[in-house]
Amino acid sequence: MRLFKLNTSVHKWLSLFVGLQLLIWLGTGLYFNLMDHSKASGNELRVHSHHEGSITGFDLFPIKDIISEAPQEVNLIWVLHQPYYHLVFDKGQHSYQVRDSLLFDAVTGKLFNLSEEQVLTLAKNSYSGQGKLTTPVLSQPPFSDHVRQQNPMWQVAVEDENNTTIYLDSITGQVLRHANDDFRLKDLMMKLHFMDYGNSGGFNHWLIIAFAFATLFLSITGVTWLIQQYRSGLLKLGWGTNRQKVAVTFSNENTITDISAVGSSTVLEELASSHVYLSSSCGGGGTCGKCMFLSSTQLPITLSEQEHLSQEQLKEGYRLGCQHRFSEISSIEVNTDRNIENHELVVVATNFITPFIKEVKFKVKSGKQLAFKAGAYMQFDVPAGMNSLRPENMPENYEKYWESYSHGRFSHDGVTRHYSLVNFDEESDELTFNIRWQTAKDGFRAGIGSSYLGSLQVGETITAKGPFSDFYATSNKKVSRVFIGAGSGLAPLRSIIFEQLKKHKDKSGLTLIYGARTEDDLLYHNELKSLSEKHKNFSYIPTLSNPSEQWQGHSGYVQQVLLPYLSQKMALFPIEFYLCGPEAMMSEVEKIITDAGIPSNQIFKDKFSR
Amino acid sequence: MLSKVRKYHKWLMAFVGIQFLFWSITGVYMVTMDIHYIHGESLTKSEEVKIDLASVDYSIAELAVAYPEASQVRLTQSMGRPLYSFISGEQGKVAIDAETGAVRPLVDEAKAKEIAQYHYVMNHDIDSIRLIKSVTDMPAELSPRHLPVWRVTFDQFATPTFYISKQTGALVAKRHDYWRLFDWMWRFHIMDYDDGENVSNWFLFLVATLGLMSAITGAVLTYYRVFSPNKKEVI
Repeated sequence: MRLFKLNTSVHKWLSLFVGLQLLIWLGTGLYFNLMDHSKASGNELRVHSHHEGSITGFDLFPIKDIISEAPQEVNLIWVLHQPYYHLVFDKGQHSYQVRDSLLFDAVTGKLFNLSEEQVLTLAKNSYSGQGKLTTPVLSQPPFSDHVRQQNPMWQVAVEDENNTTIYLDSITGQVLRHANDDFRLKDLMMKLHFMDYGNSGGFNHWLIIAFAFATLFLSITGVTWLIQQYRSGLLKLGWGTNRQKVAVTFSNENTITDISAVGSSTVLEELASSHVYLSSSCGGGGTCGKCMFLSSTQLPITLSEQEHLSQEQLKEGYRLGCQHRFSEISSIEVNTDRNIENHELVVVATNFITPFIKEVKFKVKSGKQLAFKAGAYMQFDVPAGMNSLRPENMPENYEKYWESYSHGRFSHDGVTRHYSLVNFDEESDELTFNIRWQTAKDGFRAGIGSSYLGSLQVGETITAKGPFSDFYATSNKKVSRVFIGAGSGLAPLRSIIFEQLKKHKDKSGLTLIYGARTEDDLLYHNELKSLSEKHKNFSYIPTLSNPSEQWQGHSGYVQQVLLPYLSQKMALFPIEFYLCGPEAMMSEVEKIITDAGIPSNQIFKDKFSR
Repeated sequence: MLSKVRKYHKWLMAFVGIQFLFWSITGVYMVTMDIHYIHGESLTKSEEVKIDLASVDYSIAELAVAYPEASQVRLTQSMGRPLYSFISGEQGKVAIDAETGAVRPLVDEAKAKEIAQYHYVMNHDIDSIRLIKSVTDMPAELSPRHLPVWRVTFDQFATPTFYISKQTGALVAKRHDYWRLFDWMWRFHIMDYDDGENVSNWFLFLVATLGLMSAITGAVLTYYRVFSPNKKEVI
């Protein structure tokens, strides 16, 4: 049973074969649908003039006396109000087919040929435009303006904007066609639609027949594929926005992360939206068989899986991420290192922005631009070595905060440390982190990561892996968001807020309740203040636990500010809460908002101490 | 990127894919069936018979006296006899014998059968014959300008049908089931399901636009799948 694979690969190769022509068909078809029919006919400036005279006004020559071979038919026609006999000796079923005929004067019975002047008059009478008509030319087929025509025609070029050419029957002078640029455009479209690249004038040729069959098989394989998708439950419309949490075990790292996503799309897509990339080269078509995961529950087996996975793998619970909806799974194991790379980062700027927090900016050494969801973090490799216990250089006004900390160095092992990005990915080509220098009470040790990163000088490099996205804004549009942070927990919140406002142009309500000790400890205070002045939908509420006397804002912990805020804002809109800060603060806040009736799937926490 | 494109391709095609199937089925039919065959050109004997001018004893001058309002005068032959046909004012279509000038009697059922058999290239029995006088009685496959006509169907696969003018005895239209099927194919092709004449319908516009988008996404998929198969990560 390799039917699935056969079907999809036939579909792929046929699409390569007919693809361009298929686009031409659709494009020209759309043109026919939209075109101005009267213009495209070429007859915009064509008028019908009447040349008939009365049969009684002439002494008509008896047909039986005409000296001619026997005709198939004789028509009494009128040219410029004069009667003529048109003797047709041979003709096809269509007027464009070869015709053998002669014109006789119906009064004298003599053979008659139209003169150039008469043809010019006939052409003029059929044309209502302003252009000047040139001398008629009796031309032989083929004609580019009338591919099928097999008979000679009079050709009268008109000097007008639309490049009109008037074609008349070589014998009778009947106006056969006004061709102009509008007409020629339609003619070209027809030619493209009929694939008439060999100028057969029709659509019954081997090239289009071959392409038509290929296209038919392309459609059949496509519809078959859709039916298979439908049967596998991958073609169900999921309007719901129910988010669902799935425990994902990364078998390479032996870590487990809860990933929450809307369940209507495939496992592959939803994991990717959380920046967990299963291997895939076909992008979710079920044709490459690479996006494997191990499910703890028994999932149905689709055709694609039967072909790409072995019996043993299927038995063990391996499935393909593109073949199952996220809502089908509850916990899975993936054999990917999250496809997140190590990067060598170069320090481009360091700067104390509060007494204990240093802003460190990096660039990726390779020059690569990293894409990530705001709220992401990176994992730094801190090598074993000796670090300072406290920073050596800092702005003078912060010196007073460090007076009680002694100078010195300490040795440490190599460790990894996680720091959240302060900026979002399109904000700049830099990666900005806030490094809070962890100080030790005993005076002999300091935070290994923070003291190492805090001591980095411009130009020095460090290896970091990521960015990892565990904490990020949902894609919900109609929801207001409350961000609650304290201290250096502001970093991911700032990133998300800026991303929402600047990148996503979010118009729904955003509120930041941000707690710090003193005015000096507030991160990005001026920046956030001006952001809130610029964006009406963003309110910035800083609160200080130990404010100076000049402080005009809130004082106390974030929990104290939150309570009155909650009772005021609740129940108007769905609200999502994003928390980042010390564990104690987060669990207290969570309790407050849960008690206020907010379901837990609207609360997102970034673990401060990873 | 690729997964997004694939998603769009899938969902767009879920809506318009069936029309792609219709387009290709009808397209295959229309290009494989020779248009001259569809027009029924193979149903009739090729008209090689010439008019013996010497036998045209009734001159146009006489005709002009008898029918001063005559226009569109034609000399043809019907089953070997020369015949003038023309429009005579209010009277409409008239056919007169070109040898005698006598008004051709209106084609009756027996005559219509005879004419039909005369033109028919094969040798099948006539299955049915009926006179159509009014537009309401007329099948959609005929143009009303030909009325009144005899509708003659032959007892043969594909139901060959001849329409013979009651006034002139001329074979004015040839139809068979391949023509009728072609007509339906055309309707499905241009998605005009009421009268099959309007290419500029909004339904076609909608589906063709969506179809073009899905084809473009399909082209992107093909490009990536065929020309960059070694890219490990294309999602």
